[in-house]
Amino acid sequence: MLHAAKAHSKQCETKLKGLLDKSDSRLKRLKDPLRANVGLHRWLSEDHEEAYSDWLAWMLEELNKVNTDLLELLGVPAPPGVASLDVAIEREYRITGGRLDLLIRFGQQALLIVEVKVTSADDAQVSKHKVYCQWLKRQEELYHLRGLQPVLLAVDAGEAEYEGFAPLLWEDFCVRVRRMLPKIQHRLGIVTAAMFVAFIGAVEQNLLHLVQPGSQGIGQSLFYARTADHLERSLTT
Amino acid sequence: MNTPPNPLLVEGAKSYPPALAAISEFRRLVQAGCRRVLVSNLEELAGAMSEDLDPKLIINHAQPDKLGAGVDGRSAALGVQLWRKGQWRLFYCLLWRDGKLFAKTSIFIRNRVVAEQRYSVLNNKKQKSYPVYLQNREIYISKEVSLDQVNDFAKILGTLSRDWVGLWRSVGGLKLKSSAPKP
Repeated sequence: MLHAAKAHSKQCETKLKGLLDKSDSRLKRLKDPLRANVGLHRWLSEDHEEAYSDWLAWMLEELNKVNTDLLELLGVPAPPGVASLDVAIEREYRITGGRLDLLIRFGQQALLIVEVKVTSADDAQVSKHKVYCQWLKRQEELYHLRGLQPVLLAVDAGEAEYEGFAPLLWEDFCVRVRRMLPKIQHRLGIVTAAMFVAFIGAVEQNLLHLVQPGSQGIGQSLFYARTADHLERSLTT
Repeated sequence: MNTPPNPLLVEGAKSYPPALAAISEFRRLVQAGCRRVLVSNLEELAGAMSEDLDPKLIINHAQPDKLGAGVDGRSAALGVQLWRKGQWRLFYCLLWRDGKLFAKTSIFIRNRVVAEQRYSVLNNKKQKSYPVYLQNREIYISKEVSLDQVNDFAKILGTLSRDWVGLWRSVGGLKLKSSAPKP
């Protein structure tokens, strides 16, 4: 199987090169996120979960400035009118029994909890999710706020629900943000867009283990097909 | 006295991480193929089953999912699933069993009585290309895939899916609400 996997990956290397070039030209003055070498950047290394949450919160705030539908980005079904409300994002919001990675308020009408994991959802500690869902229910009762489907952002997921949280894969999130990069560059400027590129690069390299052609090591070079499929998805709408 | 070399230990020490990567890539290939088939048949299947089937809720399926006691060296399944909490799980997958490979479409129904009822109705249909089976609350049809057909496994799964859709249409859908036994 290892021999066949090497041959299959080798076949995909040329395709991957072409897709990276296509992505570069789509981003004009920037380059594809996989071109940045952030694999060894300690700030966004695999075990710095809080850094990922901080970056994610910042990205969502920036995207909100250009009226991006955050609910669509996070794969959350939107009740009528909620997506267009003012958005406020809080990090590490304390509640009895825990701290929410991200709490997103949509005006005075709706709340969304996002839990961020840099591992598989199957390996994540989800025992606190019940407490978070109970808290959300209390907010609904006390303040007539609508609790939106809570989200668990994770590397992969083998279940459709984790104690009331719906999994969202980093892979899908990155594809959606990649598709927005030209708009981000146009509306928010090249510096902000470059920071988005860096973050996407870190997620894709450090969490999803996507690679560039010419990657060192047999194991990594087996992921050309996976990387090419990911790029292909992001380049088609 | 020197310990005699253990070839598995020597080879494993060299290639364990790439071998895991190869398995991971194989799983991804199969799951992506199964996903494409399910997505392209979803609308029709939803109509036939009279159920809302949301493509966003399709997730990968692997049995066993982790290395450990669940690995028996004889059986495995790879594909995708879509589920309705507390009611059913729908699978499109490749299945290895007793040295053979099969394409399989199935539904696991949580309520045993309902599973048996639905199986009985499906199994009684005269016009069907594949036999319908029931095993541990899972109703399924399957088709063997030979090694020289494996490149076309998605096409075979697609053919099976058309029969699966036809079966559900012929019995008027899943009808879980009306057929669920009273508590």
